[in-house]
Amino acid sequence: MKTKIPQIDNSRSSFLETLADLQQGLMMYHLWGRLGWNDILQRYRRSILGPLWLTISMAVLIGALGLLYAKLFKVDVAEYIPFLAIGFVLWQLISGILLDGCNVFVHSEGIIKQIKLPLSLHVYRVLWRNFLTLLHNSVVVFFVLVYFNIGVNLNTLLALVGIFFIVINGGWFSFLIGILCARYRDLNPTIASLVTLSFFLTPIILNPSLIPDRAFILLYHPFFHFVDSIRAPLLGQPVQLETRWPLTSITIIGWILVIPAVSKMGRKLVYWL
Amino acid sequence: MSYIELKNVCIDFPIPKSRSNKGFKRQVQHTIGGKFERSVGASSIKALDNITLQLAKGDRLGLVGHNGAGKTTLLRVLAGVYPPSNGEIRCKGRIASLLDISLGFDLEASGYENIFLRGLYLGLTKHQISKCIDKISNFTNLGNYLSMPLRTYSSGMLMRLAFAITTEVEPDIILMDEWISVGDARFMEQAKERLEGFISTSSIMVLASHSEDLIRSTCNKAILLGQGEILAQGSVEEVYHHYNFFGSSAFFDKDEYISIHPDLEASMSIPGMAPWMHFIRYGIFEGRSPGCGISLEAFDNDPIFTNALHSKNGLAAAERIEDIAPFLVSFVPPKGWRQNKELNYPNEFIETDGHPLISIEESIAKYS
Repeated sequence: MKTKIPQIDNSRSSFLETLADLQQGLMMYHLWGRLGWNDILQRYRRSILGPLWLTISMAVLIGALGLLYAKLFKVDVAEYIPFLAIGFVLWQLISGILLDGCNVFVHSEGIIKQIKLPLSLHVYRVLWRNFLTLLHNSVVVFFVLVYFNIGVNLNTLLALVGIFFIVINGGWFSFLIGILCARYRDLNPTIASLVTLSFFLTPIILNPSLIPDRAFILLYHPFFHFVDSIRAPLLGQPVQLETRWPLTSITIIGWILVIPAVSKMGRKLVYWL
Repeated sequence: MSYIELKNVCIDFPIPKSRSNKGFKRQVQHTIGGKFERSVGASSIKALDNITLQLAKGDRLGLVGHNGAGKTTLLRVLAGVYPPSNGEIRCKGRIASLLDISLGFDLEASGYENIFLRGLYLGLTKHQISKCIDKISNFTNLGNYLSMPLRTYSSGMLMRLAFAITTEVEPDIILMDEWISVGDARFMEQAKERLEGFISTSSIMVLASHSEDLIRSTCNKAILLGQGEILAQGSVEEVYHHYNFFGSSAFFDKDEYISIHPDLEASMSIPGMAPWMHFIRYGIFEGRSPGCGISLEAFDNDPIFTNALHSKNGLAAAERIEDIAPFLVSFVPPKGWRQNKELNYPNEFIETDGHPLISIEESIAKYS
């Protein structure tokens, strides 16, 4: 078998093909950048405030929940609201990627069946859309930090690294789960209910320092590491548990496992849609 | 130089046996003792079967065939969307697929924004798009409408926009599925002019359509597809002749026909003498079986069939066989054969001894 054209080439190693797909998709940043932004705009078309609604609803949620739960847990509002705000915004990023990841290919069925584009393009679109949502929500975090006078220091930069980790891991997860969800349509509702459950199992509302004797369990909770690696430095605290190694290993193992899996299933994806 | 080559391309659509995992389902069945319907039958549908095709510069190929013949699937294969389960595809050139007008359109965004969006889908850079945006808007003739959201457009206007953008990228290969007829007469003229411009430079066009006029006026080559196979190919004239005469049924298995009538092998080597044609012209009058376990004796008492033979109308007689065959006890459906959904039981058919018909329920049970 010989082929000269990379686009419709079924002779090349599918492993290399997947790498090429990832690279070609990345190069089309104009397209996925616009599509991701359009997704957000579309939700708020014809409204006056537009995507600002993201920021507003997050602010309302954090304000209300913060005051309520600070009272319930009998903790200081000045301490609790920043904790809650950061946790909530991060959780929105994580759960957004998890949930959108399930539909990444199913929702792009129309495009995938019409035109040959790198599959990874749809993944980048989902990641970008969720990152943009994060930026909108971060405005709330910014004002909370300023209002409660939480200083910015070098540690704050660590938070950016943490966000980078979330997005990178969102990449392999969406790619894999997106394909699996196209094949097994029961997977999507399963993930959706698991995500809801994880919200309560991840210390977003509950501060782990309230239950110090149980905190060791969190060592085995991946979402906790993602959240804490960002929240702690922003609050000017040391990272509660060593998060760097778990995060690095999740990232590496994730991508190593996913690329061969995607190489194997990617070709069949369009038939499952 | 652009070209497309397909070699023995097969496309199989998997049909998941059930939505849930099979092993899991069986386990549930054992545990709760319930009765699950067991699905029998093929686990895949052959949408394209052994397609070999070569297109080169200047070819304007028309795809002809009934619904479900495989036209759209073939277009999608050419667009690189479906990787073939078998066979090889080689092609060179920038492909523009106009399979769906609304591809990538954001109905809430303005015409200008959508020009950008579609342009990006087609692989242009922002810079390239802004350079040709004037040309595009001139071609569409939409004027101020381009600043309005797309949801205010009519389908004809959407098509103008889509066509204008897609053809502005100067594709080498244009794939179209039945949409060109949406525009008004003036736009059709404009569109045709533009397409002709491309074809004369270097392009290949593939157009699937049910409109004979359209294909006759735009294409210089055609393919007749039936149940995923190429039944005929050649000039538009030849293909339509075949189509109008035989339809696009794969009911008749040409290889089987030759194998049960080995004396025909020599006459099959005459160019233009397809087995189908032989059957319609001679075989059916000589009482030869068309294969599939059908014996023409079963039709001896049938007035429609015998009348057709008397009036030398082989095609009508063959159509009668096709209608009756699913009810014949001895009928063996050819590979890939699908039963017509709107099945009518031939009440007026008079059976011959030894060749009884089965009831409509039996037939449905047998072939579904």
